[in-house]
Amino acid sequence: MISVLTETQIKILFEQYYIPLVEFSWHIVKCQDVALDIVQDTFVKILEKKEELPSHEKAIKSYLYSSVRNTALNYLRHQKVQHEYYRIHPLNEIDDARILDAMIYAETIHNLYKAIESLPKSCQEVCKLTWLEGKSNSEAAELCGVSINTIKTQKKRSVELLRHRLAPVFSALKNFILIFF
Amino acid sequence: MKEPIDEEYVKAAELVSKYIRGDISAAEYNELMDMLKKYPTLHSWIDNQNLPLKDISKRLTDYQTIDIEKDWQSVLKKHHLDSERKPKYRIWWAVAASVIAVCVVGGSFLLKNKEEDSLAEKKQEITEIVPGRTVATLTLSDGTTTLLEEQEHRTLVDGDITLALSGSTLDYQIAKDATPQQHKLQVPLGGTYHIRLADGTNVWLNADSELEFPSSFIGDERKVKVRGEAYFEVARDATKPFKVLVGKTEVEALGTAFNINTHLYKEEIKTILTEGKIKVSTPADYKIIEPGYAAISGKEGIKVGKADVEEALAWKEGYFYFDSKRLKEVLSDVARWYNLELDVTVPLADKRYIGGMKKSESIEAVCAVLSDLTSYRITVQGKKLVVK
Repeated sequence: MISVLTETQIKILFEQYYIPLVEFSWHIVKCQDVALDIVQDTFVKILEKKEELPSHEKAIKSYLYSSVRNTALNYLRHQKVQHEYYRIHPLNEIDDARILDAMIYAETIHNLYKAIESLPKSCQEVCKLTWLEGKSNSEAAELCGVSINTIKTQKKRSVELLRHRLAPVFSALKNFILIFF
Repeated sequence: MKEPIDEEYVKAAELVSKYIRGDISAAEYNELMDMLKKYPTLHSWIDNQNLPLKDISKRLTDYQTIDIEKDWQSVLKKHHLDSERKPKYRIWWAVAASVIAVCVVGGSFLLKNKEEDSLAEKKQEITEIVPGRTVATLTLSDGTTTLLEEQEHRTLVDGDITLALSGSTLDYQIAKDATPQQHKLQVPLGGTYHIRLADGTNVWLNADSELEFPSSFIGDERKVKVRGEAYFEVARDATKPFKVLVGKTEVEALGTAFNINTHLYKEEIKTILTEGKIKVSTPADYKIIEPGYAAISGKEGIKVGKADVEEALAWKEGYFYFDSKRLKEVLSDVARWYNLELDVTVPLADKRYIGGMKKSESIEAVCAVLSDLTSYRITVQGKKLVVK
């Protein structure tokens, strides 16, 4: 089954897969700005051709991974730098195993990102301020216009929520939670 | 192009990801074990308990700052622009000597969009170190100086000469029949300037450089003096050779284009020829240079070697370009452009770097890239570029 998508449908795909695809392409090109650019260019192409996309989700996913991989490899090939770089690292070093690794990273980031996004908005805000931007509880309280105790409660709540969503079984996750928080 | 990634492959990635997140069911676990037989490289994920969780959480942190809606808007913008021109990635970096290598700082397309967006943000930043601009000082024959700003449109008068100043170009062509006056154009740290001489020759002066020239050329030769770095596109005139004096080196050209740089090496001058033919002479020696070659002239005489033409052109097109330069040289170039003092507190490794970067990037972006690429922490503190 093949269907032509409308701009709205393409936008939905973009919202859903942008983060994992950026992560995927980052593992090929190793630079965030280019990774972003490559995924955006891939979607520009999809918009342009009104390309025929497979209709079921699995096929769409492998289609998107393939397009991003091709754009990324193409990009590496077109770099003038390749003459120097690939003398030491021939292109075939980006082999299927590395692509597979990149997809594993992408899938992992995808799910963790979704887990954070699924937190209540107030928890997300507190998470961002305290853990990601390194603000202290009192600074976060001032910025959010709430009491320190509220911040503490929100933090505790989000840790619990994330634990519940992310770490039902595995011990590695404990490490992850520790590192992340 | 390569064949598409098949669905089973994606499935394998999903399963491994579930496994490392600890979110795998018994049935999925069995499926994963089957996959392991098929894709043996997956073993490293399952057997190895030292999963790169730290990296993952670091990357996850970075994703919190991404605004998906905004990026979708730039996809749409690119989509609409794309009929006009194709995206081109022009900024790139590589560490030739090290194992982890290429990092790329955005395509020009992305940057273009970003520049527009960041313009408003930039205004709010108070103490940002800005990249160099088109600013120069012109000294007239009577010794008076005048400051040439970026994007100016006015006329300058010296005796019977009237000069047009438009945008970032000072044009002497209209002064060609007047009595020649000796003028000097100086470009400070953190600037560049373009000038068109009376004969139509174009000269681009890089940061920390100067050019002495007559307001019009009389006699049987065209002679100018330069210090620092300059790129010349000499107007063709077989009857009047064009001569550039750089210290004790003289570069003689007919219709031709070349780059002269005295910043690179102590007491040595590097001249790269991009078009035509030039003669480079010192009091002791002379050499004829072909396009694509460079001459390094100094006390030791003249050495000729294959040149990277990109290096000669990059700065004038608004890019830094480094071809197999040592980190020290790269940093000096960067410091010169951003008008910073270089403060190196640790010994620098003797690696060589190739790559380029858009000069209009903010110093923070440049530092971030340099820090990523090297094992040093490169930061801006006040007016200093500090390397640790």
